[in-house]
Amino acid sequence: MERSGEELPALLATNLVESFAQLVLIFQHRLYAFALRQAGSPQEAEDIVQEAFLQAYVTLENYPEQRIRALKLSAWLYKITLYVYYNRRRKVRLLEEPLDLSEESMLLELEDNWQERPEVLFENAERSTELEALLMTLPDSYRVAITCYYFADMSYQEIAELLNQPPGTVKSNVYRGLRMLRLAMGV
Amino acid sequence: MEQNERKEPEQPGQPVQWEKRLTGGHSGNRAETTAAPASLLPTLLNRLEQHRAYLSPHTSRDELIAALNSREWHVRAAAVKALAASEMQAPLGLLASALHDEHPVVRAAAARAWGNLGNFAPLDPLIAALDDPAWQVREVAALTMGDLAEKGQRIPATPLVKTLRDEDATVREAAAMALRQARLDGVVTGTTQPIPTNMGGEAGWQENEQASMQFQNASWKTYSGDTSMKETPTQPLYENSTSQPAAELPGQMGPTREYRRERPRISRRRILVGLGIGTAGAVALGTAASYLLFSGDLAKFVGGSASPDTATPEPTTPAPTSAVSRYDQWVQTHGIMFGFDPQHTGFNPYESVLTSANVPGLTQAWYSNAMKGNVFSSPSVSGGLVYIGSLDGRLYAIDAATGNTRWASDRTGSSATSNASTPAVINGTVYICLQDHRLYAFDALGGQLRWNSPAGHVVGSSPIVADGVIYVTGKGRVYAFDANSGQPRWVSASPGINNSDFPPVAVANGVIYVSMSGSGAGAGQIYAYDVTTGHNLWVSDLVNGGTDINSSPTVANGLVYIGSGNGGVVAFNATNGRFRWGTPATAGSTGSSPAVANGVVYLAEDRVYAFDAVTGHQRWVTNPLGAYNSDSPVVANGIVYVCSAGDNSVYALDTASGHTLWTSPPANNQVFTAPAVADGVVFMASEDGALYAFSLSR
Repeated sequence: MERSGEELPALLATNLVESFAQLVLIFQHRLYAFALRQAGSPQEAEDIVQEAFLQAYVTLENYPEQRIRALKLSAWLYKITLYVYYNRRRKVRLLEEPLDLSEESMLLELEDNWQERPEVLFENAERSTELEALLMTLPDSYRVAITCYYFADMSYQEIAELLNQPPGTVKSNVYRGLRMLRLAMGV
Repeated sequence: MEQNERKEPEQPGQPVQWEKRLTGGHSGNRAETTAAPASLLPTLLNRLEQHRAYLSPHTSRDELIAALNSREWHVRAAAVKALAASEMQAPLGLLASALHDEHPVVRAAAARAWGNLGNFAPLDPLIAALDDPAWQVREVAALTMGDLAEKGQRIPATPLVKTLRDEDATVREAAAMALRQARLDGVVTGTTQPIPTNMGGEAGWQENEQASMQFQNASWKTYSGDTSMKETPTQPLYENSTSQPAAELPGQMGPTREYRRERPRISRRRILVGLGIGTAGAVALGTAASYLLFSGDLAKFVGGSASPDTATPEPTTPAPTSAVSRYDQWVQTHGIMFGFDPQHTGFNPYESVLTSANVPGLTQAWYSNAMKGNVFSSPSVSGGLVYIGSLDGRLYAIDAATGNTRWASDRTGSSATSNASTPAVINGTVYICLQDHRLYAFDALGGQLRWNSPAGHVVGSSPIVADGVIYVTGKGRVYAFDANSGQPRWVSASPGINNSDFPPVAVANGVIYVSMSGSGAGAGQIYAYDVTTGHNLWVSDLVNGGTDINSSPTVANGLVYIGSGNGGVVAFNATNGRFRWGTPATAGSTGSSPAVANGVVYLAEDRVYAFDAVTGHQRWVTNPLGAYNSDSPVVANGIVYVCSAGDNSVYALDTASGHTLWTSPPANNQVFTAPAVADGVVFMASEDGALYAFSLSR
């Protein structure tokens, strides 16, 4: 029977070998989804998640027990996954499509409208595929922020710690990313 | 639990609904559309099995070493971890190379493995790992330092305090955890140390703090060139270590910052090269490896099979005199001082000329009577010169090969003042406390004065050099000076003891150890101070019922050894000062400092004693030799050298049996100093100011 996430740190601290499979079972799907939205390729996403889990295991081997017990596993695993992605991307894709990210860009003007909820972008499920594709066109900083906030269910503070950015920057990136999506989708 | 810890979105973004929209409006569809492929888990488990195979006790050492060159980073990480297991006797050079592996998780594994070596390995690589470009490495390095602290090893606070401001939240969290383990919260928050009950209470503490501030703010005179003086401002003693709250994130530093950092990488192939060169490679690793050479433990790691008893270099052909010897290489880098090193081990692991077989052939090479006052300073040898202080108020530099005087400093103070300060030499500078109770820094080659400490702060001990700081004592206080500028760093609070002695401190793992002689409360104990702040860390249990101490401490094996006022050796836990063991009392009060080498403590108290360094059990004892007072022994290449005030000679004793291998011709006066042994020459200074050199006949 699959154990719940809250027991896992203690189990990993006491018996890493036996408990690690549980960690994989609990987190593999969400990490895969996360990686897929970053990489855009199922094969690439699988490789990223495999690598991330392997790094997680070896890192846990090197952690003191009390550190493992104190781990926020979800945020920690996302972080490892994100860094694996960054590292792989750095090796295979050195150039990004240039985007106008200047402060003067109309694209980046923020609407001070907290009611601008993302779901209004989509009237039906058919457009989700289009959204997935558009997500891939966003700059990393926006795509990661949106993915973490809306798909990984992380708070701004958690994302800020993940990305080593001020929470305000995270918030800004989320909304700028949304703005770009809205413009691209014409909604 | 993560779900519970998750904060609700601060804005009404409704992420769950957003996700539902994206995935077709039903959360259950999420798994269908983004489920990990079934191949992920078995493939991962297969790789994990491959990783774990190298952690099996059945994996040979050769296989592990070969695995360090694997193309798979997780195999290299496993090999590092397995090699660091104690039974594997990890080759230090390989671990040091792994700290530069191209993969961050391997570097993190190496940092952890390095920490597993405990007291046997220097902290420098771990401290350096705190600046690694990868957060995983910095995090594990911080955690490892915390673990070491919890196990009793002293760790410097400053690097961890600095790490509290790391750009990465995970690393900051690890640093905070480590500081808690090290119980350095006080340092982090800037609070003062608790006041020991025997340090004069609040009023006394305030007085002491004022004295500290006066010292810190004292006008400082720096000499340059032709000794013209200029005023230089004092500097803060210690960086403001107030921590930055974890919630206060630094400026925008995204993960891509990592890639903008530059650091040298060592490829996997280089790791194999590191293996191939064995001991030589380890020596070339610099500070890390030389630290172990210094403590005599490197062979245990590099050779993989050497026992402590074989760690002493085997007799070899004498090195050509034109070459820079290993001794000089070491001294040029790490300095030479009373007790050979900051720990006062008295152990010179670089002597290879004199052996048990040839030491009986020593004859007097030269004799110098240049010194015009009595001598209680022990000679320090560096770069072909012998440095020694005299009660005539001068520091002398004498040619080690000929006995000719190269230079002597100007006279200071009164010859009536007692002074047993042994010079410390490092980086071309000689440091000594002279008759006017000031600390002096002279150019080692020419003797020009570089700086001296201000008047009013009475110092007189043998200077001890560690990490660019000079430590001296005076009237119960410890003073720290910058070795280059002479700027004062700090002065410790006075323990309030009527103390007129100048015991040399011992420095190890970020802690200063000093014995407090005198009478009354607080005397007869060892005091420990933080090297960075000078704050008192602890006061040891009584050495011998609170009576006087004339010995200075030696630190090795996690213990502090000191000669007892009742004779014999007492050992304390180097972390907390608690009593560990004491040998039976010997004939009288011990005034010399114990030497510690290869698991044995050597003590001179008329006779010379050898005790097991861990248990204190006596291994052997000589007949009475007349080795009294300050006749501290020196150990080099399987031989204990000790001077005798009883018959004015220096003895060479076999470390294994205590048998006398050689005795020098008697000097004209008593000898109350430690001998020096460097590259086949034994130096001995007698009270009347004569310096003798003994070497093998050519």
